[in-house]
Amino acid sequence: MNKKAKQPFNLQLFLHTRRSLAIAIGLVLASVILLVAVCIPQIKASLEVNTTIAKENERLTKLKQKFSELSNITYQPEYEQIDFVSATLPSHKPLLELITSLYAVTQKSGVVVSNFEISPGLVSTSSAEYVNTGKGAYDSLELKLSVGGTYDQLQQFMLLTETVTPFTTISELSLNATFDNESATVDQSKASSASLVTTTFFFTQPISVSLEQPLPKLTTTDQIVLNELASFEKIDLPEQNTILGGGSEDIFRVAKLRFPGAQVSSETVSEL
Amino acid sequence: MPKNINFVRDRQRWVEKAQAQDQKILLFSSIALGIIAVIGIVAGVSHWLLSRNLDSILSEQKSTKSAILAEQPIEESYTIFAHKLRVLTDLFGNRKNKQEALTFFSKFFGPGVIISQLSYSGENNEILTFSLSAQDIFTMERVFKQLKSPELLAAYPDITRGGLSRNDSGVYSLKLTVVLPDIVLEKES
Repeated sequence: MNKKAKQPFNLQLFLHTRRSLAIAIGLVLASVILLVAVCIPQIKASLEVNTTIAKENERLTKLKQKFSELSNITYQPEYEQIDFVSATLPSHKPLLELITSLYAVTQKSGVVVSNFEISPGLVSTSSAEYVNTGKGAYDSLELKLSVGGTYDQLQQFMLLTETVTPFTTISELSLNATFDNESATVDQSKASSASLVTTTFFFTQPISVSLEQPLPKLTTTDQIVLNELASFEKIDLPEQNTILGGGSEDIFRVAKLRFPGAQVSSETVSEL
Repeated sequence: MPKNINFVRDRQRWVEKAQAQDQKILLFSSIALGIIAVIGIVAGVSHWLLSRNLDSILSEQKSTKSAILAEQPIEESYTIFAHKLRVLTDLFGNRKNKQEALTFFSKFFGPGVIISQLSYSGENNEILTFSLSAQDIFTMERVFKQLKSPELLAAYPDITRGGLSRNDSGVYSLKLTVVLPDIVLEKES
């Protein structure tokens, strides 16, 4: 007997007799396409957005925290000290401030400055940019001076020098004091002299901040420094409110030209 | 004689059985498609909601950043103030070191001895060189004895004696070099 020959697949017959199966296959294919093309990408995207939300929320919290700190900072007592700290440690070479404070201290203590020498170096550049030659965060300005007065006055001068703005330290000292022959102690009333080198400091550190960077927090040590600064005296630069004229002489001496209040010299006036 | 002869009875039974099975498969595949469709819709909606949430967060960030930028002068002055305080901490610490040493030495040797010269050296001004001046040799002898005292060595263990000199007025001077210890600023009680 011959074996039954395998019948070729008849699509029409299949669709006619097994319609439900064909539809089911179609539905399965559609499910797979839906899963791969829609569900999985959407779920992936949702997870990514969720991660981004967590990260951005954290950033938003930091920004809000910083804004809240900035809003409240002006009410803190330390904020009132900002100008004083700037005067104590200026951001520029405090040449004028140093000379002004030196003058104020000599007036207060009663010493006489017989000699002073300062080499400020570069004070200004064509671009007005500071050229940092210091230790990074700060630089210093040296002043050599010789003062004379009684021992008490010299002591007072040295004490005051280190308690006025800008921040100054006596880095070298040579004192010629007179001893009292009877008591073997320093004669407080006799004239003495001293040569000093003072070092005045100023701030040179470049600072950069980002929007998300929190405000710096003041530590206990910073509070101690602020308390120390309370004993300092701020020396302000005197403000010039009037123009100091050199007189009203007519320096041009042009004929037929008269400046109000000008004094005309008796010499021959040149004509135009 | 039979009325009719069914030559495809077996086939018909097979087809009926297959169609019943196909109906079941169709049911399951419809349910699966429905579930996947629902998942797709839920995923789409949640993505849309999360995106809206993200947009509102980003918008709030933008407005907060603008508000912070408006306060930039305050931030600038306060940040510089804090950095300056750090620098002043170092400078005060170094100076307090010197002031404490000078106060100690001025009082330690008693009356008749003064600090007549001083200078700093070292990377952080930690080496203090100074001269003690005494009216006469007896006072200077007392100074020499006191230099060996345990109290002084406990406070300043690293102290070196330099040259001894005498000027025309009879004042004796002794040079000392002291390595100052590190100091930490502390709140006064």
